[in-house]
Amino acid sequence: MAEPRVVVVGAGITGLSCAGALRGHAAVALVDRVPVTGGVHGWEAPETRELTAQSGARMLLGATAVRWDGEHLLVIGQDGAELLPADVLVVATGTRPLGRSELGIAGSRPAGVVAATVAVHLAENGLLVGRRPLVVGGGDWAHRAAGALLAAGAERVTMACPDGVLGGYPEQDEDISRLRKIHGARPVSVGGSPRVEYVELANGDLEGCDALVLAHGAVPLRNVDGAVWEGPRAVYAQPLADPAGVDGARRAGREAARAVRSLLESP
Amino acid sequence: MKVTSPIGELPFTVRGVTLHGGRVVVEGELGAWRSRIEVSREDIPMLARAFRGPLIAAGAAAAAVVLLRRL
Repeated sequence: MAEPRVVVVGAGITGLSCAGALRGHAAVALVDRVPVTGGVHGWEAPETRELTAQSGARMLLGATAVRWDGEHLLVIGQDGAELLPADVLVVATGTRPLGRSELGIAGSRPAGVVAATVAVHLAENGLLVGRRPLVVGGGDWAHRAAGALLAAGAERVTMACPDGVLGGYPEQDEDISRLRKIHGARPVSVGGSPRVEYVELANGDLEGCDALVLAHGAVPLRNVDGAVWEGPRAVYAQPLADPAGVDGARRAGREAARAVRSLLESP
Repeated sequence: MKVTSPIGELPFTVRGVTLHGGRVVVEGELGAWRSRIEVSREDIPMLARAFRGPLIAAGAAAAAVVLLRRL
């Protein structure tokens, strides 16, 4: 009997753990759009190096997974398009913070409303989305965004934390002259023209700011056409814990591998 | 070696250095992406300008070490 084939999209800790747990049970191909493993955890982390070495998978890094038809995954990489046959697809593409409509933030459409992923990316490259931004959220992405904005030269950052500050973020040692956290604050609308000028909170307070950074919550990032919803040959390994942890990611990967094996053993 | 890029910091691995058509060609990988750096004669003034500061500092440090040993 031919060895079953599994394609895992996402070579972060979850995808790598899944591939490692499937070693010896299936021929695994790992696909990631960036040319290194580790995902948000980073390629230099010891866990990344260890899991990469142990995965035993064929690596297709720097390649984008485009479409899943239930039997093949279309991948575009530096050598062109490739159709990877697979008995099961594992989606381990991570999460993103909630968008504006998902957060229920009403108001006009001023410039300066950005996702935390974008704000962090720009700040790490020296570009500020605002000098006095308001960051919605109290978890992983919110702290990353606030830290990156302050490091890039923001005058002050206000964090509106709808669920308070999540565990794992001690508030000592922070530059409180430039960073303010409002616990239990939920933005309900944004205003200003042409840029963001203020955000209205649920308690009626208006917070002046020149950018609104969306960093609250976590939803699965699913951008492989044909594998957006649950399917008979698709397994989703996207832990939603905030802050995300290596242990949670490893656990999600192992659980996904168990689900894959159960699918492969079913008639 | 590391290279900073718009998608973050990536490892650069050198696989080989060759001379090709009067150019120094450094072949390597940026993560998993095949990469190639070509240095031609026209690039020498730019490289000299970029390396002038570090070379002067290294020369001064070497001279200081030699002087200290002679004292």
